[in-house]
Amino acid sequence: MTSDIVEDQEKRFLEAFEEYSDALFRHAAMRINDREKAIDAVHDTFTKVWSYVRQGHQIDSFRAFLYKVLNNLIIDEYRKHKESSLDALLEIEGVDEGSFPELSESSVEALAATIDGRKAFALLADIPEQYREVLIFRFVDDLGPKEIAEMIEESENVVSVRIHRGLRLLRNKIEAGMAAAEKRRVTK
Amino acid sequence: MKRFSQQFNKKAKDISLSAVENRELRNRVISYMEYHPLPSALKAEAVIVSGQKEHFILFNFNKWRVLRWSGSLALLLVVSISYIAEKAIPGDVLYAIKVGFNEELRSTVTLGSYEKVVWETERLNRRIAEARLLADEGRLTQEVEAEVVSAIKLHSDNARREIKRLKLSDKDEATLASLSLTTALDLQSVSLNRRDNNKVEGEAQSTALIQAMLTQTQNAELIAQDNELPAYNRLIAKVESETTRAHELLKGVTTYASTVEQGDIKKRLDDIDKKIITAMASVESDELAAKQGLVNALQQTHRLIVFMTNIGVRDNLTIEELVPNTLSIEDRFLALRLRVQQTEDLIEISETALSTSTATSVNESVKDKVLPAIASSKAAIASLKESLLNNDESQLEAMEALVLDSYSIIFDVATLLELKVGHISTVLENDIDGKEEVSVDLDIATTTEEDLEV
Repeated sequence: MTSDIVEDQEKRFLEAFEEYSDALFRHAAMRINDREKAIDAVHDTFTKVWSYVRQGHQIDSFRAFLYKVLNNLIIDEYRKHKESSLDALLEIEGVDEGSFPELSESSVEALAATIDGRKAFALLADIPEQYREVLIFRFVDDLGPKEIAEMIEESENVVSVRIHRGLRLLRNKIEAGMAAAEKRRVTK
Repeated sequence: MKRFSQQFNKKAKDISLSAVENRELRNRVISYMEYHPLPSALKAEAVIVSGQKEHFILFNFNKWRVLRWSGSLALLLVVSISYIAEKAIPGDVLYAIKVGFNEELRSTVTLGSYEKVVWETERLNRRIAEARLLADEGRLTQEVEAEVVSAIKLHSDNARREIKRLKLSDKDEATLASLSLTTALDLQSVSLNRRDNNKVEGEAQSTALIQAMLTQTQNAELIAQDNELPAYNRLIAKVESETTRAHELLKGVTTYASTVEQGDIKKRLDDIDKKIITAMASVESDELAAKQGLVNALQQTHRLIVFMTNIGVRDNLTIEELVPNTLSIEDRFLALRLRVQQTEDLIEISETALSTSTATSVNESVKDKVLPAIASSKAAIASLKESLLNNDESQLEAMEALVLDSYSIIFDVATLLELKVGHISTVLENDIDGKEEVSVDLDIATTTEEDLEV
């Protein structure tokens, strides 16, 4: 590695911090629901990536790498505090996630068009982590299903299923909330 | 979906790092980068490459270049005078430039409140260093001392005003700034006091007035301090940046510090690092203890920084007084084993002395006191040797107390027998000389004057 590359790596790393720290914090805060822990997670993400750079590795895309490291840290955080693991949560849901090959981006679009984004956002914390994770990647961080699949080490198909189910869950919750409000209004 | 995405994304954008959080996070990451730089081999390579380039600098004179050179020379002149003035002391021609231009310019360009507190503390340190120098040379007249006292008051008032201002916007930062100020005031006050106590009568002047002002300011700031500790994250960020600074300073002390002194500083920095790791590990279970541990580490780091940067403090206080050495578990076990061995040696010497003494030199009353003491020390040492086989860290403190107790008893016995028998004095004196690290108080001797009468 030449001196130019050394300087370049430092410069690129600091530029990546300026560019992505806020987005990474947003992602972490939405996943962890704890501001201080989210800041710590972002800090740990950058220090881990810096350690990787120190070992002489070249990073082509800081964005993807940073998200990948942050995602792993968030999963670690979940494993520390949740009684059951994410894998166990999946089993409880009883979902065979490869069983919806027909799902495509267009069907996700059709479903999303029926949902109020603001209400969905407010209910995000009420849905299981594996759905929240993909919805945040898709609609906050603006990653495509392929990128998300690489990030969470699942197939594109599984990602599409999770996005679809996550949206459906949100829509059901919004509708249930509206129905309850209507019922209260009538009984008054 | 576009509408859903827009609504969803708009809500998400409300979640963002505040300016303070972003700055702190950035500082933490940069501190980490400084603390864990890219491998030195790569940096060395970088230096060599830039050095080679210098051989190929070409000069091409033209009128614009001449004008630029003239301007540069004028600037160089201003910078040079300003630089030379930095070494001026009260009474020098350039002192006014130092205080009125250099320092005021730096005050103007120092923007953040915390940075302002640090700078005002630095100015306060400078005034004290100047006063110390003048006092050592016998040039600290009453007028100059009064000027120094009023300058100290001015700078400490400025620092305290900034701390008050900080409290309104950022309480944690204000607490950190206050900790930094009180540590500096405390160190300077103790250092001046030590200097006055050590000075040869008539050779150097007292700095009592300055000390009084420092103590008064320190007390006022301590009263104004809240009992609340800063948030954990803020503490960690500050500790990281200050320890990084201390490590950087350590690299620079090679020009004046001996290898032993550098080793002493390095040892303290390692101890501080261990304290930080312990505090970080305990944050989940006991956040308050973790924060107190970090505050302690921060104060010790400040002290080390002052030790490395302030010659006046370094001349009057030892590093051990500023930041006491913390022995590692291994060192403590080693010291314990050594002390056990020494106690055994003294037991053997005392028993030999007793067996070879004549009836008239040691009477029964003395024997009645000495024999149970020897027996008790022997029993304690036997039990200690057995416990030491397990290397049980949880028992270390109890074992240290027991060996110190046994050693004190047998030391008294040996002292008494030396008075009576005489021939063990050389061993005893050697023993006293060689064991300075464990204090043995002869006043706790079990023997009374009556026992000594034959």
